[in-house]
Amino acid sequence: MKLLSLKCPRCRADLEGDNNSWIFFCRSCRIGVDLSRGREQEFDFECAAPVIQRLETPRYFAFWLFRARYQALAEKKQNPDEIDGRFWVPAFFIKNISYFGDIGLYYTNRNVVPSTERCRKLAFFPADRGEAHTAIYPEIYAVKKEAARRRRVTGITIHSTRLVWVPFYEAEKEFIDSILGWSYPIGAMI
Amino acid sequence: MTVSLINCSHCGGPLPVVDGQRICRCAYCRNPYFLDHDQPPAVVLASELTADQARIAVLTALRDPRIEPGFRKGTFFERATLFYIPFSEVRGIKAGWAAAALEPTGQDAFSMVSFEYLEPANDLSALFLDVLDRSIVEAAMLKARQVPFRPLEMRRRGVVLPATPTPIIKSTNAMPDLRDTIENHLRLVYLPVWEIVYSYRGIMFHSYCSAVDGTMILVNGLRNHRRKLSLSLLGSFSLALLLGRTIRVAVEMVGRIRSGIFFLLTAGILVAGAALTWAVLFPYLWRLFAFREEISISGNFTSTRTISYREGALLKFSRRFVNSLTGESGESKEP
Repeated sequence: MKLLSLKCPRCRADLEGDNNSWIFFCRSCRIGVDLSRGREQEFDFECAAPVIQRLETPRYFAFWLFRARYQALAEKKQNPDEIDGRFWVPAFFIKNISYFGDIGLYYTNRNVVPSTERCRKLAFFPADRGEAHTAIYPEIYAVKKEAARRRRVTGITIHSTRLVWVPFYEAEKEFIDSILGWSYPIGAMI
Repeated sequence: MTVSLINCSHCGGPLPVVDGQRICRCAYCRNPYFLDHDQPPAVVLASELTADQARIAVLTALRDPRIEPGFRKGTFFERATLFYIPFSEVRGIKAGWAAAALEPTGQDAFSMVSFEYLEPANDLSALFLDVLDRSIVEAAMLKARQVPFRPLEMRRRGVVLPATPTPIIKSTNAMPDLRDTIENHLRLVYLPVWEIVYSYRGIMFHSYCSAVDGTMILVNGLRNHRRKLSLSLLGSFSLALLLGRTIRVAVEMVGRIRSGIFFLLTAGILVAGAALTWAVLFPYLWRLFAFREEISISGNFTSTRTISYREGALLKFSRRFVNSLTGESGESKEP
């Protein structure tokens, strides 16, 4: 059993998180501490500005945003194309993605560029997918994206990783995404 | 609930850690800690229903046509207990190239699919919930909000069942699958369930409803006998018609024969047949009127169990009748 201190490595304030979380946050230093690799890893976080405005209270959910470069090789070509991409991976688990849809994949395919704003009150939804769990997804998303174009991915390099809080509006029994306007049942996102 | 003690690395004070808990705080220096251990993390679904609301939900469910009509009015509410029932939830994602034959387009395609599997982490037969319809629980979990896992507070509010996590990795995809599991999480989910106990003519019944949204998990009551009674009356009427016709034919035959030996023989056969019919029918009639069946309804699934609350009364009545014939008092004498 390993014991890790839940103090911010910069300001020594208590980190905020849930029993189910792998990522813990310090509001004052604006960092997320990921413990999924068995040690403390710091990641800067920022808040995305909502694209769709609604009257309900926004609640923030954490996403991993990877910037990566990969090579895609078409069937009858010898030289691969170098492609830069942003890969969004939810830092929480969505139940039944075949039915509700993988929101990270759709953000990635639509190449959502977050316009940041000052973070408002953050709700503590457990971020139960650490960097160790999600680091494989940029490659998976790239392979899935290029498979539609009949190209195959030969190599991928992750350049930067950061955390982005995306606001979701809390309706009666569902959360509504503020960027694409999708809705999820409350229990599907915890 | 197992409590293990480890020491704070800051002040050396004890850190009480309960199973399923990953965050703890030193009681002396208030330092927070994260415990990276093999135990799965636990989450609790919020209980939205009060005991009164749960009782009303059970009373509404007792209007089911499969339950005897007078049962609902005759019940007497005994108690309501909140149970936290642990489930092992395995969640994961598979991804990979599906074989050409599996894809409708006929081409190889890269696809992702998530799988969830829910397994009770406790033997629920003690709570009569071994017939639990999982679709009800899954639907309740989809609507539920999550609250922090605080075992001591949960124990104050209700009964927390001990959990034995069962890490069963199972894909919900029934087709042959070439995809690899790329992510796999196991966690304990505590579902709050109200147990409502009520009595009817001295017999206790238990019903369970989800405290998340009031969905009935299991309803117990007396089975509606009207259909069975009407069918048996119809059967008895048909049998009586058949028997009456047979007797009439037999009497006519006896009238024709006019012989003493044949008359006795025919009468003997008739008496033996009547006795045989009674011997065959009597247990069923006895069962119909002396026994009652308890019905358990869980979703579309029902099960019945025979209970005999009228059996004692009938036996007492028959014993009193026999005693009045024989002239005994019927009370047991002291040796």
